[in-house]
Amino acid sequence: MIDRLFGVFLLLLGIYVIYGGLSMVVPFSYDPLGPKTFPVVLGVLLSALSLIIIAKPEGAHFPQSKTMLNTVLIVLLLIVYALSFNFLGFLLATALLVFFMSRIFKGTTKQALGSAIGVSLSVYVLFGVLLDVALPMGTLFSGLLGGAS
Amino acid sequence: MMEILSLLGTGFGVVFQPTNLFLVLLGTTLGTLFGALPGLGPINGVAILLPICYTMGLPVDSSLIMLAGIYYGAEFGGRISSILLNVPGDAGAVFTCLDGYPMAQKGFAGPALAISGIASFIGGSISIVGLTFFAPMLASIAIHFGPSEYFVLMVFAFATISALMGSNPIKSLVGVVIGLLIGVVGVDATTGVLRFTFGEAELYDGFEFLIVIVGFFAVSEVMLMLEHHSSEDFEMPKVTRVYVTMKEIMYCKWTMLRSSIIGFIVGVLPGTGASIASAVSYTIAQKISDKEGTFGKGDIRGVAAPESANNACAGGAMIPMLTLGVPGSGTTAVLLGALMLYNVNPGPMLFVEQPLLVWGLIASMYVGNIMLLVINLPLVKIFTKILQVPYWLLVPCVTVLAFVGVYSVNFSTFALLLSIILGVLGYFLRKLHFSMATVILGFVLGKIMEDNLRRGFAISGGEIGIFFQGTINAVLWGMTLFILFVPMIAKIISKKYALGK
Amino acid sequence: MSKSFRLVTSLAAIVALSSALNAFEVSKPVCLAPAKPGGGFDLTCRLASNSFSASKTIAKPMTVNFMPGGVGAVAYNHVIGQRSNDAEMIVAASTGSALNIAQGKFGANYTVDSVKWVAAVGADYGAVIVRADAKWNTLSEMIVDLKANPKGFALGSGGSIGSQDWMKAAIIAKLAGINPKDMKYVAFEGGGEALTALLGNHIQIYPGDIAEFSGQLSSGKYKVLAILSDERLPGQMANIPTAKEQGYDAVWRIWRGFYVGPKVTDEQYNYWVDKFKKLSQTEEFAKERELRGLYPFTLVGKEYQTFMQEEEKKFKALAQEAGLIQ
Repeated sequence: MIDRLFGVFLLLLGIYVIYGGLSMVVPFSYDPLGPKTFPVVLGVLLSALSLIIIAKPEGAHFPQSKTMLNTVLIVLLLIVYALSFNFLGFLLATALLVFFMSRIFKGTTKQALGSAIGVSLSVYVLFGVLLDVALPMGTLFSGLLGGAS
Repeated sequence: MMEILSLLGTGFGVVFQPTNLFLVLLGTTLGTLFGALPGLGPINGVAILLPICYTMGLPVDSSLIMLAGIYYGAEFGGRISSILLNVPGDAGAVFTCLDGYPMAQKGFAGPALAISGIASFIGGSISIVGLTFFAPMLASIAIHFGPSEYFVLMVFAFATISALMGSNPIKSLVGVVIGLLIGVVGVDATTGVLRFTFGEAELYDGFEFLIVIVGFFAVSEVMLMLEHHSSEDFEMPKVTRVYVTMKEIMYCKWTMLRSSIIGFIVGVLPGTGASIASAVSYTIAQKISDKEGTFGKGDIRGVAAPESANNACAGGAMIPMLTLGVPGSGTTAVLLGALMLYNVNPGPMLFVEQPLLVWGLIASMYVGNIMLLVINLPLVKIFTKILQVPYWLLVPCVTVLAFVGVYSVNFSTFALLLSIILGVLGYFLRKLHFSMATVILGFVLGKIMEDNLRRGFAISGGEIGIFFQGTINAVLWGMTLFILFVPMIAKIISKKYALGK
Repeated sequence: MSKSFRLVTSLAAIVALSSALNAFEVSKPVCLAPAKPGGGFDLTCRLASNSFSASKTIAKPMTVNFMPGGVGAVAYNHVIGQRSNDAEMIVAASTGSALNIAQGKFGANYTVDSVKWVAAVGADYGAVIVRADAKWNTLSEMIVDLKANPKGFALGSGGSIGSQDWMKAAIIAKLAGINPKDMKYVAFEGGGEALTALLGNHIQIYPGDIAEFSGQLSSGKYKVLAILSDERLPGQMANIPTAKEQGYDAVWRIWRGFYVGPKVTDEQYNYWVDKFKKLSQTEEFAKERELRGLYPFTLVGKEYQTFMQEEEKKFKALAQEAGLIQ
């Protein structure tokens, strides 16, 4: 079932790619193919192949609902991490991410807390301090530090 | 010949200064670390260290020696997380996952790490010898590779993919198409038309390689690990032994030799890189050697092939950089930038105008390559300990490192979101048995193929004949036919042989 | 929580007030290079950072940060959207940035007036480069051949249609009376690849940048037929003729400069203008500029802003002529 649904997704993607390819505005091109041909051919190919998948789907094993829920949770965690990265700053955002991930992977609260502090600090020291990678301090705290971020 | 040796001698004179020796050690060690950490590869490594070297006021030869150490050190280190975690440490180590991880799951993490270390050393050594003696000659051959030759080369590379097709060719093909489509995103190199960028300036340059591997491998791997970890019969993989036997090394000798040469040649060609080198050498090894169908299930040759190739590629990529002033890979492009920052103008005169710089660098690679082997073999035992790290610590660690790597490429959180989106896509692809290897191949080869096809047409004015002109094209088409029909020929021969018996 | 927060805000207010009383001075100056380390924008930033500290024009060391993406598009959007009042940061730009802005590639609603232009610090010039064994020795010989056989020779360069590399090819085509749409043009990834293609005779004419090319000058593998500058360049380039003196009105300047965010106050903007004015008169600056292969081209403050508006107008016209924008 999921295989068939994914096939439908691929079909829609293929159609979108064909549409997107054809609707590109190209002033002129020095080769007969231009920027459209390649994506359009790929879109056609993808649509055709996805039709075969829809017609002859295979069985797929997805985990039970509890694990599936945790998988979704992980993805949400990662998205929240990415979105809050600049606002919370590297240290806080990372500590929170590590804590919750650690919990999801069956760590005790203590272990999760330890990992959160350990991982965020050591990665920060390694990259932010020793290697001089500009990791964000967080706009949340920038007021405290006098405006510099 | 004598002249080269004496120049190499002066190069060693440069390297054996205590500071430079230390920098080789530091560079290769840091490189191994950058390679080993998922999400961080040689490009980040060199890009992060370059401004530091410059600000600290290191002289240009010392800087270059150290930055180059990071480059080939990273190709050495990339294998570690591929084998242990199924998350490639860098772009060149994607294909090391295919057999390295199954080996580790069976308890052979030790031999896999050891053979890949040795393969890396052999690949590195062969390419440095090639660099020392054939650099100018190879550079003059490389310039004959015009757009049409690059296109046919890509056709050849795609022909080798047929080895990866496996049990479900439809899904493998879908994988290739998805990879190609990801490569389409960004500014079109010829017309400047924006393709599928959705108005996002950050998509103009297309998908950064790192975003793609972190998404497809690190993020989706974390999702899969959760499931694996939650299942009833979960147990940590065992570690049987931490060394590789002489018999195993000899078993891989032809694979390593062949892959080193492939990797070196791919490296010499400007515009290609470690990912293509390891991919092509893996698929060729599978085409030629996989008689029992053990590739992809933990065949030791499947580990040796990509690892010798990616290290050989790093050495080969130095050739166009040093002889023509043209980058042979993404990382050498940054290295070239380093030279310009120091007001050294890279170009064909570099060998003449800066002999100490060039030969010091080459000599340092000999030293660094040996250092890497010496550092890496004893560390195998320690590396395998990573398998014993509990998931509640390991998984967050891998995730954070991968994300720091992605962030440090563009300093943007948009890149993090992209890698998460690709991760979810990758999760479904993997759950539904699409082959990730074909996706990566499509992504890696697609852009070079399309761009050069269209450049070829632009030069010929739309005539298709340009792709069949010249000796190089003839050889490449011949190789393509050969690789497509090898299995058939092999079958016929073995049948005859069986009948003869 | 709320108490300490109030304390912080009032403290911040005091800090802000006291800094407003004193004249503006940077505390952590940053130069943002909208590219990877080692690229052209990195060099531009290093020129500013090194000469500011060597000439002691700014006491605090200036760090170089990187934000690659879309030849500066990402940085332009970032500065306007998120750092518009950050007076600590200058951002490197070049002719290519102006071209992209003019064609709406940095954002349809953005113009050169979306940011404040501080100073241009130097320039490189276009050059017409061919193989050493090419039959042409002067620009006019090449133009005559090109005119007679427009499809006979491939021009190749490191950029797509509409980029600064393509513009040079288009200029050459126009000299030969060829519509840029009809020339034979091959776009490569960067000048290095184009140069290699020239060496392999896959293309016959490479319109490049002269300073960038200088490392190859003494190799004996190429000939420079003309430099696209107003007057002859000094030093190593002194015996290469300009296109102008060969009778062709073709000039292509690749300037390098800096801008700050649109909401930087006038006082802060003038601070930078003033610093660059001072800097441009120092010997250290001249030396650093020469080390980076750039030729003198200094424009500061309002002059530069006006120049940018003219560039935008000029590039818009060029792009319209080629049919790239409506």
